[in-house]
Amino acid sequence: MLIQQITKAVDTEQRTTNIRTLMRQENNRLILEVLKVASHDVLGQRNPLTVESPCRFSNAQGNLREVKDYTDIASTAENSATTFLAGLQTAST
Amino acid sequence: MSFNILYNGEDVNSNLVSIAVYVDSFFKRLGIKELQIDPQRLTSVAAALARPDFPHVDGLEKASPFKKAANFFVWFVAERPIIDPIPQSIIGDKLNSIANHQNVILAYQMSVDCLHKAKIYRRNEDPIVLENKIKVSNHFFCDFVEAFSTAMPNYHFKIVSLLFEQLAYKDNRKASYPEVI
Repeated sequence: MLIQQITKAVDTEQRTTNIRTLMRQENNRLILEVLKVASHDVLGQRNPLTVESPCRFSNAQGNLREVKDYTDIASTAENSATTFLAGLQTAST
Repeated sequence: MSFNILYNGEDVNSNLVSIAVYVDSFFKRLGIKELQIDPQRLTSVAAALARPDFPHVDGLEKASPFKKAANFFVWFVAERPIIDPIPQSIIGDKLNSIANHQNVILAYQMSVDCLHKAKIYRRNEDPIVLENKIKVSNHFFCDFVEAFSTAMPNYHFKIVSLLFEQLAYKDNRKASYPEVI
């Protein structure tokens, strides 16, 4: 339900407001009032964790997995959790 | 219309929702009904992916998928957005005893999923798709979680990138450069 609502919200023009509202409604599971933290507050600052010496060598560039929508991300995560649990059980037997 | 699971330009909110959905779905499937998250730290992870100073000399656009996955991994582990540990009843004594295991486990799983079906573009070659998902032994996984439980971007980004690259090549032999040295 949360995933479907998020997907719908992201497809609308008022997605920031909608997502924020959704996250607040879902506080019985994940508490994700994440969007109240304005992104520019973080983006504009030099973080002490930043890598000071960037990588120099690369012959390849590339992109990470493409997904169709947020439901695709959810099912990917659920499949990985299932595999993870199965792997743990295999190791314990 | 499809989109990359992470690194959607400067759209921090898109990255944020992707990560939040992944976290929500992964822990729900583990059987965890309530999970405390630090929303500001989660936002910091998403924002780190949109920073103009991606740690590659030619910037984000020219970086490999391994560097992109590693950058996400080290930031997530360092920021520690997931507050609650995963119960011992789910992951066992060994993993449960490692501090910050919940963030390492989530970051590793999402990184591996990001690399599954990732595309590599090399000069004068057809695009390479990492068709096979990385799989490791339980022994390796436990040691990995312990080894990177205190990972920091400025110290561990490069080594994690190399490790992801070799793990991906292990399961996608045709994607590897010729091993000549």
